[in-house]
Amino acid sequence: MIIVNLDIVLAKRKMSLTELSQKVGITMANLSILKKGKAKAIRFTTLESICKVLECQPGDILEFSLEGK
Amino acid sequence: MKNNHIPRSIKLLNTLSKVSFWFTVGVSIIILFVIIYLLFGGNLEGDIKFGDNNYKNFNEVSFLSKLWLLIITALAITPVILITHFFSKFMNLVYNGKYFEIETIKFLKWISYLLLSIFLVGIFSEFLITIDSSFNDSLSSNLNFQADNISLSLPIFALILWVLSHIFSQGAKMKKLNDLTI
Repeated sequence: MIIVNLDIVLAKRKMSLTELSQKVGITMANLSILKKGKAKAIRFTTLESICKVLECQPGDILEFSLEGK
Repeated sequence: MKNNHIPRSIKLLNTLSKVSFWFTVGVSIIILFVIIYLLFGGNLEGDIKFGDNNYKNFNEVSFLSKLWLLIITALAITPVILITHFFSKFMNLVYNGKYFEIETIKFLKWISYLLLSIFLVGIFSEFLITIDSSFNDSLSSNLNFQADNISLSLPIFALILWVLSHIFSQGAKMKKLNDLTI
């Protein structure tokens, strides 16, 4: 399964979800879905925007694991 | 979530569906009360036809025939009321912009089932009238079942609605997937 490590990256950058939401232009509700790992898919454009704001690689946010978190 | 770009026709249909529901309920209650009044010996003159028998007043009609009439009417009225109720609920959800929601599709599916039930009540009533007229005419031993008055438009319409509900349910799944795509 794909694990979303957005909360870890946010903590490292000392950035709140609200701040990220404002900078990326995604609603808090959608970011919350992504953070909780409930999202079914992520658009490349969204991933690009998040990576740009957080100055990270997609691999820092997304992780593949054979087992659940 | 209220859609701000709702066409006027949808607004009108939403209002009409509510009005038609309460109108159907009112008319149904009146019809049922009239039949109950006739069942217990009420007077009503006219050209009354039950199977092959003709009457001039409901007083002349046998209790059994009137009981069949009450049962058939109740059986026919119930799905009609439910259809108008579900249509009203369906239109309300459409009016609120909930097109591809499971609840909306559920109402569409129920309407199709109820339309089919009206068709089945039609067949059942034809069958009951045939049996009743055969009982009244004691010499007749053959139970002749005729279904000349039954229209096939109802089951066809029900089938179309049922297929549409399945198409919409696929749409609902796609919408859910789209909603969870960030």
